[in-house]
Amino acid sequence: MNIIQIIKNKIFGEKSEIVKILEKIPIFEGLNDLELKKIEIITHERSYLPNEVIFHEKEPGAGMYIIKRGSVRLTKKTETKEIEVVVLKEKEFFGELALLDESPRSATATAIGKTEVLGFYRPDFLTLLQREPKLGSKVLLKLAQILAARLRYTTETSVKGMNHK
Amino acid sequence: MIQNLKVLNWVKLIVIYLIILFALFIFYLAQDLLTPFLIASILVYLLNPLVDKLEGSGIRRGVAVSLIFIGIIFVLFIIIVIFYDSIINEINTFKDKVPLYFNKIKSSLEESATILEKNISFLPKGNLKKLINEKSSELPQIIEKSIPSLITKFIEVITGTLIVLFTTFFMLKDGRTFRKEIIKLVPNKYFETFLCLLYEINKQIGNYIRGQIIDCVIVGILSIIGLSLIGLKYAIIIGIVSGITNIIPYLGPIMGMIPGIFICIIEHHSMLMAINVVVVLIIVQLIDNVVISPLAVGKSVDLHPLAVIISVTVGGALMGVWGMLLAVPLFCALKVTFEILYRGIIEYGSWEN
Repeated sequence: MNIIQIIKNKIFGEKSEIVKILEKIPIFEGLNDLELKKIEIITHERSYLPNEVIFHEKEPGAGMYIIKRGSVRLTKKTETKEIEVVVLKEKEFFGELALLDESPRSATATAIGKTEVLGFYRPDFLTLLQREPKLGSKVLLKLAQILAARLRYTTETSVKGMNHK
Repeated sequence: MIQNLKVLNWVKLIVIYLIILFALFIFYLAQDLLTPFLIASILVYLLNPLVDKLEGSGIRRGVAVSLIFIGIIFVLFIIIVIFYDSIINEINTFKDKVPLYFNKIKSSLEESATILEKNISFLPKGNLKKLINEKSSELPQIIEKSIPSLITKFIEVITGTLIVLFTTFFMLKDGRTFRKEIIKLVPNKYFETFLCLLYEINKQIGNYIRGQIIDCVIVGILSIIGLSLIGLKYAIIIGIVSGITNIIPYLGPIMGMIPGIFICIIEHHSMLMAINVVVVLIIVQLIDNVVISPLAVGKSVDLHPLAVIISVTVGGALMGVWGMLLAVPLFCALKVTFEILYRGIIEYGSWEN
């Protein structure tokens, strides 16, 4: 490690485990170390026991979660039963719609085993947008791109479904 | 497993309640020591955006806080250097005039006593005058006796200032970590609601305190300018007092007028001057209410003026000056808590689960 790197580490700090996780999440893709560190500061580490509910369907949402360790099941209630939508593993994320507004959650998230997650919540995201508009808008743009891709996929799937009928 | 979860959530909730109770108990026991911590909290709210800004540019938080502290000490040094002569002059003149004021008050009391004794027949002649003379001759001794306690007070002020500086430094540097560690204890079930609540309360109180302080500084400066223009003696000190009292909503500006009027009567012997002081301070208040306050404080606290006046009065009755200062932020925190919990429970029924 050269002297400049040592000074840089002393002033800006070293890359933490959370930063290493965050840099692999699509929403934070393309952010530099300094920007990732700023995101790390506003994330909250939460631990869940097996079968503990992270959030319930139809509850107002406050933020997104990134799985640090363990796995999470997303389920949705129909009139008669509860169906599994997807099982998410380490380094995957869910609940990102709640970063935009507090509309009700579209599914219930439950920890399968002992699970650790990083919570990234709307109040902190809104503060980030206000305090650091440049970084905030980078995250916002990525979020919009992810939602656009998902919308495109949903539209294509429903069109295909209609054609099959 | 679910049973374990319920027990864990209850344990966490109880721990939070115990911590809050313990903190309140400590505050109750150490009421007199509370002032430096409250001042430090106000400074933290005031300086936090600046530290965030510096940290945003890539500097480590500890370095950013140190830089700000060095900056503040430098600015204070400059202010003291610039205003030292005039403030010391005002204090010295005021100090020299104290015996004069004392004699004036004494002679006016004696005059009143003579009038009273003349008009009320059953009052024994000369008794009141004797009493006034006795009591006034005791005054130098009383002052002499209280000198050791003045020295203790001075030491208390120095200790208080050091506590304020240390607390402010560490709350600015590590406050976020403390906050994060404390809210870690909140049970998962209530975490999102709690975080939203904390954000709203923090935003409103922060905006209010920052706005009020900026407002006070501007009102203080305007008062100094206005009072100097009409030629009031001790304009700087009276202006500073009027700026400081302005922090108390609605009642503060009236309190700020009293020292000015007192100086007019005692020093200038002029009711016209007193009217001038009142007019100047009213004009400053008008400028404050029309221009400065909407910009500085804005709608940081969405409270009805009547609610503000009532909470300030109740706060004053319960906790004196600090109560008056803390009334609005506390009322605001309660209002936000009620609104968020109401929305969560009534609109979403989110705690049914």
